[in-house]
Amino acid sequence: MKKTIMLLAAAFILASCASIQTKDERNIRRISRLINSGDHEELIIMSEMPFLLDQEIIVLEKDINSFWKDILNAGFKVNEPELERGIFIDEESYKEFYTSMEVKTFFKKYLPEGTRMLELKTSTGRRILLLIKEKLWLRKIYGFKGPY
Amino acid sequence: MKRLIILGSLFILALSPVFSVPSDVVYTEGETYIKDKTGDEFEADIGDIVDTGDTVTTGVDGFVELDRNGVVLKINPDTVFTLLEREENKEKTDVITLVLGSIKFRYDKITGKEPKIATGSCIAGVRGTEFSVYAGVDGSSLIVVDSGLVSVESEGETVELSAEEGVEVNPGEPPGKKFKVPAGRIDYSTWNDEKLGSMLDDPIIAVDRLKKRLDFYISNIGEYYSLFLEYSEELSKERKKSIEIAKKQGEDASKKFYNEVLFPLTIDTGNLVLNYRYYTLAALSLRRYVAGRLYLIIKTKYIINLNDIKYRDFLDSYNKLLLSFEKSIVPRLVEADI
Repeated sequence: MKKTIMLLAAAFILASCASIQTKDERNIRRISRLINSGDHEELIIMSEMPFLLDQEIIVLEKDINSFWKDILNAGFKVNEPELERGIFIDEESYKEFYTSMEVKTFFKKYLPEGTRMLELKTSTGRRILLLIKEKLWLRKIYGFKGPY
Repeated sequence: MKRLIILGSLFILALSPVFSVPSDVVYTEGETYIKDKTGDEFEADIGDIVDTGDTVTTGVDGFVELDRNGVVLKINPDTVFTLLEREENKEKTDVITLVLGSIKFRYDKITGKEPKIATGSCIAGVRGTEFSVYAGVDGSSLIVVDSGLVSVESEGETVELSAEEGVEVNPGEPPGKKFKVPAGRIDYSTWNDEKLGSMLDDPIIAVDRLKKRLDFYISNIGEYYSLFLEYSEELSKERKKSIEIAKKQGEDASKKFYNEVLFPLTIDTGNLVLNYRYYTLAALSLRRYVAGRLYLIIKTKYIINLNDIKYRDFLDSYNKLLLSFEKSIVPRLVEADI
């Protein structure tokens, strides 16, 4: 009986991990598709304020709106995107964006529990970090770093 | 601040701030928000009060009019300003800190206790009755007087403006030469677009100017914070003395000591905190609304070619500004400021 319960628990954990990874891959594909198709309007809708861009906390909505519109108009694309890794954010995660009190506080104050940090790799070897939170069927972007 | 030495007997007590700043929202349209000092943000509505520490933001179609005791502030679209306070001549003074956009001021009467207007590049002292202040995308400012007098100070130099005169100030530089401005002839968008153009042409100069302004804030923070540490230590000693006096000499002597020494010292120490916090928050505004936006604009411009030498040079310069900010401003910030 005990063995059965343990096997079931292990199966559940493995299934959950696979489920989370599937979600991460789906998010990467979705966001990459929006970038590559030039759909800045949808990206703007998905972006939460304040927004973390590299080490900068963007507080004016019009600025993040301009960011998405202008980089896509400039021809920014994500070629052959692949999920490199996905992690739940923790106390140290902020350092991947920038080691500063402001970024640390941003992570603490503005990122809801369950926010994922996704690392996307492109065909050129460049990487992008995204801060994503799924809530029901809605996908929200809290931060973008790169490409680096 | 070096003037602030306790001489002993006489002390001007300023227990409560003199609110000479318009703070009632009397009209709004479009997107307008008030963010209070705890970080809560709400849509501005008629009847709302703008308090010290609050930030008012208007969107591209937003407009807010504030009115209190006959002083009118017309806050134009795409504007961000914060109401701060600092100590000056032993009194708390309100400082309207305009980081972006433009505000038109109209005073129906001058009381002598008008607030200062601060931007990313200068401080304006108001003796005027109608004037406008414009804060540019690169941190520069344009002050235009319709009527009355306004003095504009930056980098230790002051320019006095009278009716139909204006002056531009770049961050980290003294005021430019004043010029004649017929009423209603300034178009903020056009002026701001020119500033944006200059910034894009040479972002390193833009960063260098911001760095100079940051150095000004850092210098003031350093001065006030050092004094604060001295006064805090003194306050701690005097508090212990106060307890001894109460024990040995009784209540009357303790009260006298409190009124003559302890209370004034407490006020002065508090004022020092007010002042270093004022410069700290002004530096944070510069970082958030000018430097941060400059970074976003330049990154966007070079997003397809982040290896471009001009972008790398800009990053080198920008990182120096960040390091300076991290070293000298961040230690004076608290989480609630972010």
